[in-house]
Amino acid sequence: MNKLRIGAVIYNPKVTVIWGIIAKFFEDEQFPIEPVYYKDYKAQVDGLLAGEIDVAWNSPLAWLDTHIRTKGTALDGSMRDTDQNRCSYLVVKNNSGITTLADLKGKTIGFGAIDSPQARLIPINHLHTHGLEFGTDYVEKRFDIGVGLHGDHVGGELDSAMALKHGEVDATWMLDLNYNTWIGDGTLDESQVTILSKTDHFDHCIFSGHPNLEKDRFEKFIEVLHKMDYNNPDHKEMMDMEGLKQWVYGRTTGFKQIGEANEYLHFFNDFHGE
Amino acid sequence: MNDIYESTHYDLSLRGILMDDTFKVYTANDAIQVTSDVNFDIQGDAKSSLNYFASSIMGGIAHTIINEGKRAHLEIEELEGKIHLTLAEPLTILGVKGYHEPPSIKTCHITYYVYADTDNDSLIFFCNEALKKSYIYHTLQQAMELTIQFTPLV
Repeated sequence: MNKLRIGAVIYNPKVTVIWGIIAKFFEDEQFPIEPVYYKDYKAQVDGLLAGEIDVAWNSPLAWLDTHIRTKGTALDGSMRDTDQNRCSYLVVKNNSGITTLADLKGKTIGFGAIDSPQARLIPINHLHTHGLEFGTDYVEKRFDIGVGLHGDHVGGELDSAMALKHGEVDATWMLDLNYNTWIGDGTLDESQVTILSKTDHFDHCIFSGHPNLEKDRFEKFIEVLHKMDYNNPDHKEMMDMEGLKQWVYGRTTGFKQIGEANEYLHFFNDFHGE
Repeated sequence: MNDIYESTHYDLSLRGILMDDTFKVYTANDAIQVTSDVNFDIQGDAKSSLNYFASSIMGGIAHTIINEGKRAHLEIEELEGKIHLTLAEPLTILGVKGYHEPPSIKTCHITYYVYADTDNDSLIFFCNEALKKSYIYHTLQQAMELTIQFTPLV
């Protein structure tokens, strides 16, 4: 049987090391896979639909792109435990005088890259649901690092956080995990900043299968994937590199906000010209 | 002036053969094993050609300085160094779809820390003069951005 072809978006050569280890794990489990690398998520979704790959490791936005373009027939696979129940924080300076979302009217808000689910799209939807309309009620200052990577590269969020520190924006968005990291390593001073608002929980990456992929084969892939055991020293390193302790069954309820953001902003119409 | 080829050229030939996944290059009395082109896993394969290349640059220039020191009756008592290469377009060689630019070594920066029994200015001048006798320095200078800095050890 041919190897199952798994797509992954790569912006750093080091990431291929992880996929090499994952491929070795699958080979040892007698279920060989072939990683196929893409420059950005648009190309990966194109590749999935064109049959270049069987499965794609998708960002939430790439999942939505796949979902829309396959009219909901693509297969939904597993996620990392850390992909579930994420949220984004809107952070302001303590001395800014900004204490409510309404105080941001007319102010400048820092965002990550144009296609970042966690640092732009879901936050814009969050502001919309709380009465702040995109394009009229606040000034968007965007930090477009790694466009096409759907916010995988932390640079945009980090630049926006630095802009908050330097007074170039009045508030900035970041993923909860990044906030925790930056408070922990001193990038942000906890005594100087405060979390003004949090989005509802959302989910992050997920495996998507081609609509015509045999379900048994996709399920076998998931079954083998879930054999990774954090308590097994041979697996732990790989799982640490991928940032998880356990693979969990995927769900799509956590993509509600990204879907709403796409409809609110007509995002794909503008971004992909669709 | 003679026009004998050997007076102006020295030919170096090596033979290599693939054995399992290792390419073994034979010198007259020994062999050098190259196990990959480049390895992006910092804990992985040490015998990549790029590791050898970086080692060769740094080690080769170091030996040029030592040899020139001997000729000048200046003993290089201590010599340390660090090298930094910037490899452009690494994703091309990994086959990432969408990357097509040819890979190349864009820059090479080396810092040597050196000690000899002479004053600092004379030592730095000597080291920079010694570079004129380095095959590697002259060749790489034409191919990439190459900078070499000498810092006296105190």
